[in-house]
Amino acid sequence: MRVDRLSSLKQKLRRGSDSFDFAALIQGVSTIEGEQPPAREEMPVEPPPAEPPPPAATAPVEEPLAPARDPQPAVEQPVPPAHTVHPPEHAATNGVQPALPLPIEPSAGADRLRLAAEALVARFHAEVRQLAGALARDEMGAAGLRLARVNQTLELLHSFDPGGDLARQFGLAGAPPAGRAWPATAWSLAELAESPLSALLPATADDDYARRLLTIAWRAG
Amino acid sequence: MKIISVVNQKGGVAKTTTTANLGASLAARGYRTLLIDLDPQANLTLGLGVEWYALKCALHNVLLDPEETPLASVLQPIADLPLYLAPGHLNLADCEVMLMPAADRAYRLRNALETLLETQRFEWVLIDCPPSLGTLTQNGIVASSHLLIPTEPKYYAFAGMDTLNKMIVSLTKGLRFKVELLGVLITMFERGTRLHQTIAQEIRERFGDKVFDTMIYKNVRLSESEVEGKPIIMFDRRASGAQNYEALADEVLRRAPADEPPTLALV
Repeated sequence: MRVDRLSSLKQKLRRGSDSFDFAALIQGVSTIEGEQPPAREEMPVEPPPAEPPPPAATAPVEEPLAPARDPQPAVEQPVPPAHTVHPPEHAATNGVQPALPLPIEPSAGADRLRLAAEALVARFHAEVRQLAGALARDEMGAAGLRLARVNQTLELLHSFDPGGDLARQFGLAGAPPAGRAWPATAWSLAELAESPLSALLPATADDDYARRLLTIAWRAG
Repeated sequence: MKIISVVNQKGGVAKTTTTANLGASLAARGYRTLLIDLDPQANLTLGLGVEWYALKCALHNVLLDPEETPLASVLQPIADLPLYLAPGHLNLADCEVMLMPAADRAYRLRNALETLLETQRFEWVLIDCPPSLGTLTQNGIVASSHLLIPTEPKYYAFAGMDTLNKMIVSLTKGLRFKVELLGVLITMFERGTRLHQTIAQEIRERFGDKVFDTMIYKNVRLSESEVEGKPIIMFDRRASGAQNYEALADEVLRRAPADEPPTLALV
C-alpha cells in the first residue's frame, strides 16, 4: 500500500471513529443504586428493578424460581460409616483456616514427614483425577471406588496435616491454597453436597445419583 | 464468578468461535465453565457436537417457562473438561416475540442463572449472543458482569461498536444491570495485511487498554474444529488458533482474575 493511500485511509478511519460514541462501552454502565452491587452470589433471586420497565408493564419481576436441586436435601441422610473421621476444626472445607506456620527443623523426622506428605498429596490428586475421569465416563462402580480412596487419603491427610499448613510449608504442588484446608471427607450426602468434590459430579446428577455413588464408596471403603 | 457476554450485532465476527474456544481454554485450566448459546442459529451448540434439533428441551424452554424447565435441566457436558453447555435452538427466535408482553423479559436469563448458581458452582459463564440487538441480546447483557466484543479489523467496526454503545445507553433507562467492558478482541486478523494492521492500530488508539493484546489470526483449523464438533484445543492444540485462544484465556484471567481458585485445582 502506498504511503499516500495509507495516510488517506488513516485519516478516513480517524474521521469515522471520531464521529462515533463509545463512552458507555469504555466506562461501563451501572443502573444499580449504590457504589457496588453485591457479588452475584449474594444478589437476590428476584431482581427488583430500580425503575419499572418502560412499556406499560404492571407485573412484578417474576417470582423466585424453584432451585434445580435442593442444596440441603430434605431426605433422610445416610449414616456415615463408623470409620469416618471429622476433626472438628476442619469439618467445613470452605471454613477459612488460619495458616499457622509450623517450624520444621531439618531432621530425619522432618524428611520422613515430608516424604509422607508428598506421597499422600500425590495420591490424593491422582485419586481425584481418577474420580473425575470415572464420573465423566459415567462409570459409577469405578467412581464409587475412587471416592472411597479419595476419602481414605483425606482421612490420612487430616490425621497429620489437617489445615494443609505442612503441605504449604513444604511447598508441595497440590497443597491447598492459603486460607484453605484439605476438604472434609464426603461419606454422606450432606458431606458430599458441601464438598468441592461435588463439582466433579455431572450437571445432571441428582440425589439418587449421589446416593448410588456413596453406597458403592461405603462398600469399597 | 464472572459472566461474560460475547456480543456484537454484526454477524461473522467470530462470536461463536470465541465463546467455544475461550470457554474450553478456561475449562482446561480447571475452571468449571458454562457456555450459553443464546443464538437461534445454535451454531455454538452444533460446533460443540450437540445436535440441537434432537433435544427435547433447550434454552428457549428455560426462557419461556423457567419453572417447568430450570436451566440445570438442559445442561450438556462437553468433552472431558469441566465444560457445560446450555444448548440453543431454532425456537429461540420465538422468544423475541413471545417474551414481548412479559415485564421481566430482559431478566429471564439472569433469573435462571441465579437459580442455577444456588446449587451449582461455575467460575466462568460465557454467553454467545445473537447478531442482533433484540430481547435475547438484552438478556445476555443484563445477565452479565462483563462484555467481550469480537470485531474484525474492518472499516465498519467502529460503526458496530457505536450501535452497541447506543443500545447499552438505551438499556440504562429501563433495566437494572451493571456491566463493564472486558475487552475488544480483534479477530480474523490477517498477518501481513497492511489494511488490517492500520485498522487494528486505530481500534487500539480509540479503545486504549480495553483492546486485548491477544489477536485471533485467521486459521482454517478453527473452522475444521467446528466441523468436528470440538473446541480447537481438543482438535489440534498446536494450531495457531488454539495458541491464540490459550493466550486469550491467560489474558482474560489477568484482566478479570477469578474470584476463587479453579475447582479442579482446589480439590
